[in-house]
Amino acid sequence: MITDKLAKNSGQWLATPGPMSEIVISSRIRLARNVSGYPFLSRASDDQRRELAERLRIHLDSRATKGQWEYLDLDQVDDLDRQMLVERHLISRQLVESKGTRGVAISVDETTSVMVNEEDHLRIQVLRTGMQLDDIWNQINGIDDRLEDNIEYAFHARYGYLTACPTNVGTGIRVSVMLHLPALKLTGEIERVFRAAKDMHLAVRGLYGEGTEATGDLFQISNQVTLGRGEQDIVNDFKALVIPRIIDYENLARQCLIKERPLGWMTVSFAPTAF
Amino acid sequence: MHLPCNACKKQPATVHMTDITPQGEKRERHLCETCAQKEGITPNAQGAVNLNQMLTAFIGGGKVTAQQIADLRCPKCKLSFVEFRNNGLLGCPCDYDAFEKALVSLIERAHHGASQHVGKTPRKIDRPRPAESDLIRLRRDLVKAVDNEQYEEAARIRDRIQKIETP
Repeated sequence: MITDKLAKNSGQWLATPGPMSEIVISSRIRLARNVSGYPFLSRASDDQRRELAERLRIHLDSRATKGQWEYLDLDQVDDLDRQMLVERHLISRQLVESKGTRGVAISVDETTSVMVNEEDHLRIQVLRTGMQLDDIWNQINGIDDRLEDNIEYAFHARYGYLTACPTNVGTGIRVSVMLHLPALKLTGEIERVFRAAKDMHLAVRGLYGEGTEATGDLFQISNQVTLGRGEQDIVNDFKALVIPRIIDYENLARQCLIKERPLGWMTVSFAPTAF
Repeated sequence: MHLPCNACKKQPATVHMTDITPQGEKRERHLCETCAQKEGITPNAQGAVNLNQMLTAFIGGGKVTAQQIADLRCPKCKLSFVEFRNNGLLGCPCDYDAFEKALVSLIERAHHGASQHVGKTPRKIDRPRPAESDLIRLRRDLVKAVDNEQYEEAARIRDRIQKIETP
């Protein structure tokens, strides 16, 4: 099973430093898609869930991707491996906790995963180290095109790609960038980032997404608006506007910290204590 | 020491307001409960807060009544709009049309005022190919045959699957 291979190495997004890796830990895009002719999962019967998984599996296992992907039926994966897949950001906690037929196709290089029967029928995700949003978009767009050649997606002329939750409707795209912002946290300036992000309709979350704590000063910035803007525009906003600004701000905070708290203060703590 | 009401000059003022006149001047007003109600500033205690009216005004600018919204139900998946509001998830793609009257304002709020898709559209829309449906059926039959220890039948099905998979 692919989990045995994964366990031998650390996650690709952590193992090698990528562009802007001094601040950008990883970047990710996911697309939410549903298959036309089936209800969304909250109203799907067990048979419909099974049928969906079988149909989708055929395309994920197709000859074109043979050897590059492995499909896991989540019921066949033990708890420890499930936990590892969550930690590697290859599946969501929601997929683990939900019931019924569900699975995930994982690429052997661990950059890509396609969750089947999570909140939507398909959640396609590409995750890479550092800031690589353009490459990620090209890759995920290609995967989506290949699936679309064989599957009829639920699509609406006005609302675009239809999703179980209307907050994802339209492009179904979620662009997330994981940033390490210790200086902004230490100086308290992170609050300004939160406010600016809110004004720009962006969400700031912890390491494992929705509802998780920002442990280790790692913050995930992601778009919330998925309708009314094209995928490329959303990606460009992150690339040209949002992330460079936060990086500049973090660098400024780092420089301020170095000026205000020169190394001398650290040596004090190593000085022998007077009795 | 109570301020007297600016309107009736009798009752003590309990409602205090500061607003800006169209000329840009700050204006303070102090009214008693009765006069404030008469002017429509505070709601009438006898059921002035009409939930129906509020919902109607909120959702459809007076065009759709709350009752109409409560009655919305998708003909396909049978989900009601009330059920959707309770758990936040739609039941099937048709809900977007079935609930459109009520849903569009929610969508606009979630997407910074937008309600029209911009971006990628499917390149080509195909029905599932016959071979695909056959494979699903055959794989199911294969499992059934093995479960029933009908190994000859299972081998036949396996061969047919292989034929479809490697044309």
